[in-house]
Amino acid sequence: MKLELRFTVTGRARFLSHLECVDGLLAAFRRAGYQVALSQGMRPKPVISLAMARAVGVASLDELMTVDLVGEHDPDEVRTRLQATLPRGLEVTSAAPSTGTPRPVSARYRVELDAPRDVVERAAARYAEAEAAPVERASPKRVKIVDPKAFAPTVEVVDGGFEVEVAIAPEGSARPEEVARALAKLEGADLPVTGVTRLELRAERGRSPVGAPGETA
Amino acid sequence: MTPAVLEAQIEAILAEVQKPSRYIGGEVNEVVKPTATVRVALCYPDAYEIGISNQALQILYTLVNERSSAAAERVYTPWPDMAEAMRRTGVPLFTLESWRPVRECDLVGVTLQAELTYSNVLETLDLAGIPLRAVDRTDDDPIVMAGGPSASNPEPLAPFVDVFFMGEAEEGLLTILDVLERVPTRAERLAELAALPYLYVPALGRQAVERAVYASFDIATQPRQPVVPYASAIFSRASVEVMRGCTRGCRFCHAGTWYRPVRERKVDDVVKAGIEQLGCTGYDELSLTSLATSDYTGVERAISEIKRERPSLHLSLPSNRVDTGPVAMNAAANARQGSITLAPEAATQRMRDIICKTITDEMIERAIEAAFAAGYTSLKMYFMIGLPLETFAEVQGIVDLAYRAREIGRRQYGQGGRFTVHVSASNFVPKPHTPFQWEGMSSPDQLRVKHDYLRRAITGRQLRLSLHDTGTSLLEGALGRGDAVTGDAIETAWRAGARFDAWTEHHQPAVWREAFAAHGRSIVEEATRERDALEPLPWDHVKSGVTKEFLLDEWWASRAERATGDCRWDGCTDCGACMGPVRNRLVS
Repeated sequence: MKLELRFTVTGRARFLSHLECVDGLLAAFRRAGYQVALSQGMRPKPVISLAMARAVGVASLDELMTVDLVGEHDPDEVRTRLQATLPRGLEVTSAAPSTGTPRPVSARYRVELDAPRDVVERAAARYAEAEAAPVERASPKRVKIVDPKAFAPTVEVVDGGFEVEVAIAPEGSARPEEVARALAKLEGADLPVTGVTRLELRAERGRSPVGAPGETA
Repeated sequence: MTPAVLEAQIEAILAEVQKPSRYIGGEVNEVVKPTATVRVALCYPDAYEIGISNQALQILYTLVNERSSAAAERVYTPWPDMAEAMRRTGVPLFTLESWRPVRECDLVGVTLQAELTYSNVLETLDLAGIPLRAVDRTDDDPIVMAGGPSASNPEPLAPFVDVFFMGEAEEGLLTILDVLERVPTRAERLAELAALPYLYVPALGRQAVERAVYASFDIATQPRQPVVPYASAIFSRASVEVMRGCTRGCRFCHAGTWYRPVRERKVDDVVKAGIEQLGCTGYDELSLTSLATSDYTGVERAISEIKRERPSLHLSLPSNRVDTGPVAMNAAANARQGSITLAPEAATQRMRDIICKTITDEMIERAIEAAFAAGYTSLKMYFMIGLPLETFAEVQGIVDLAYRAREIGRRQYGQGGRFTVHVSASNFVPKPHTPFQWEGMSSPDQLRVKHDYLRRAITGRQLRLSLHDTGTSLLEGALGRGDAVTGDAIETAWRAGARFDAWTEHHQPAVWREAFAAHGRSIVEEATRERDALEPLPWDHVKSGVTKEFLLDEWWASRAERATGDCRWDGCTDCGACMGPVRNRLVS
């Protein structure tokens, strides 16, 4: 049966890579006594996927996983048994039968900054007014220009930093630290990022957005 | 520095280094004991992904943590980017479990699995803020203890180590914990430890020390719940040690002397431990480990019982004899594996007699045929070059065997069939406590000529060749048989930037060359020089249990190109190993 599970990655576990998380979850299913179904073909692979990759160092309060388990199981029991075998820092918050492959549409982040609140507020105001706020995105192969404004039009200032809702579109998305760099650039101030947490991941199947698994399909 | 401040500093630098999961701990089956009164840092002086896969440290980790008053925590050598960040920000080396400084532990236990980690031992001590030289340490510093196979010649690291543990630590480690609990000061601790026969305290003089043998080899010391590493580890599988020791007598093999006599575990115990470990780790692969698992007399029953319980399990049997039986065992154990490894070590009968590898051409050929017939599509064959008395015929023999294997593969899979014959040739490095401990290595020029020939000769479809780096092999030879002056050279090399010498991207040959030269030595000379039979050796005070007379007899037998039988089946060879508390103990 296909299940959708939501889980959190906090504390030191945020330094696990996406692949390490997936491997850790697969081993946890085996320890909990569940068999993950394998794909068809010459090189069968376990049928498990995370809706959205998480950058190393980013904590998350809302990760979305779809997994195909051999046999029928009570989702609550799966959640309980899986939780008992997870590495420190991973926690399953919900489990429900899958209602389709989730496609992420937006993610909300909290970005912690080592900067006074009034500086962040001024930067946020400039960001909201700006038509564009391009910043560089460097990869080992090249540097390209991205505009976080195209995916995150505003930010909400909170104690210690800001929160931002970033759209995930077919043409791409923005990273929360890129939003922070855009703010810093507009304000002409240094806004060092001291932590990033993904607060919520919104996904849809077909046209309807969904919050938690098992809601609207 | 308070724990909270240190944690915040560590988190800050983790954001800027490669693979930060190397430093976070928190894996499944990790043990955290904040109230322990004795704290032991178990150190593997290499990267996390190498060290976490080491079985010996998993055994010691379990044993220490089983004692309520003691805690074992793990530490690995930080990768250069992390080391740089730690030095820049003043973060001391910390253990994975508690993120507390290593220097606050009572004991730092370093396993020496390979000579090329010696620079990392110094790097690890320095990052921990522990004075490099034992003579400079005070009551504020932990006792630095080293063990593992490379400790069998302790002299190169003697200036930096307080105590060497010789041999198998399952029983002795608990006695050491008693001393740490009972005795408060450093000097008194060292004095008490020096009285134990298997411990060597260099600061108290070069006294004789005997290798400890874990006579009972009890299954109770097999880790039931090993720490499950994150995905980056080189080995990610359950493992049960089925047998310790090997008496095949290969004359180049350090482990073949150092772990005698042979002790086998009962099949029922092995099966139970393996199934239990699979359950609490979530691994989908189980390895039955030993120096030569196909020699374990219970291997076939163990395979069939494990497969009965877990039919689809990936069961691996490392280090097998080259024969049809082990190939068939592997095929039975593991339906989905496409690759099999055979280790003839030498390709001609003459050289196999010299090194005492008692297999024949016919056995090798039959094993290759059996491997391809069983459906394996990748055949790996390990050889050594630069062995004593080697002629060009031995090198040509490797080429001939590679082509013969390809021919057999083509018979099975067709002329253009999808299979590979992978030939790996490492360079012979003489090791202490072996019959070849007196031998010299081949010179760099000789090795280069042989490498060039193999590269030119082993080419073409379905053939692959890999060769070991000559420079690191020579360094390994120079360090392995080194003495106190070698220790000075190690420190000089480390101060000049030597780190992670087993990693080609980090090894700096010039740094080592200059470091040896600064102390009047040459790596090539140290590695290639044949020792005289009457010459005192730096490790003469270490008693392995196997007598020097036996090693000399075996060395001379190699000169006569004569192999010696295995005492398990061919009668006692009078090596001396059974004069201690235990003799060969087989299950059937």
